[in-house]
Amino acid sequence: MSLTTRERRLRWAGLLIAAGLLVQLATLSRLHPLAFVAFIAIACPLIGAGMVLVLVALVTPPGEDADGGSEKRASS
Amino acid sequence: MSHVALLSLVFVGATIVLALVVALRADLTRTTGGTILAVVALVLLPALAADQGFTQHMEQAKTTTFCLSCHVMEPYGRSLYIDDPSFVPAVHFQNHLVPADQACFTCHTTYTMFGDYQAKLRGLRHLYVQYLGTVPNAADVRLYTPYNNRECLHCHDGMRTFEEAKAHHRTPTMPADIASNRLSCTSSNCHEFIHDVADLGDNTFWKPTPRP
Repeated sequence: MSLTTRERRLRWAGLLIAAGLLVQLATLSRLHPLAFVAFIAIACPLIGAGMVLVLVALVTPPGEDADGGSEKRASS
Repeated sequence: MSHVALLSLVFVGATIVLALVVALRADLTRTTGGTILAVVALVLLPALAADQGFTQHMEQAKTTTFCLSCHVMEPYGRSLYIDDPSFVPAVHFQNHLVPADQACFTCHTTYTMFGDYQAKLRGLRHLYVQYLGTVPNAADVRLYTPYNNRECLHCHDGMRTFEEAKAHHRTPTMPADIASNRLSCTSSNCHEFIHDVADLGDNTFWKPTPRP
């Protein structure tokens, strides 16, 4: 099944957030200043970028396909 | 692992799984219910998980172990065990006048609205020096600003033994001078023995009884 632009953005958002949370889990397992820095410098930006992408996806018209056209036009 | 840590681990794990479900089945979001799922799984839960992670990191960053994990801080950690009650940090640490597991942070944070965050920003600078700069000798480490009485008075203000101590009433204006930081607790020849890491070797050290 082909995905619309919105769905692609949501997919990327989900992957970014999952990656960020995995980094968060990894950093929380170590009590070290570098773990704190990794959380701030890697996990937070990944999660933040994912959340911004979700918000961008939500304001994207649901039927718009990857080329910018409508889903109906793409399927015809 | 504490129950809270375990619970937060499960929460973050569940959030990861939900985020992956939405990522791998993005077509689910075509329905209204799917869109709500996406908002919950990709905005609300990650925001809560990240906030929880930040809080946990901030708490971990307050621990004595965390502060002493840099090599240059080791002598300061050792100074907490000096067997001499005139050494201010040692007497506070050994008698649990400060929480032993947050000994450094308790005295070296700034007791203002954003003091904890300012302390952590200073910590980031320490990290820069540790890994990218020139690490000074332990004895050459200095505070950025003179130690403010505010940090002492955060606990001692209103404390009976502090208020009634004759040493704190040598002059009529002394209590006010201490409160306003005009008369420093640490650099007015009153409580001058702090960490003294330069002469650490000359001291004897307290050995805590191993806990069963």
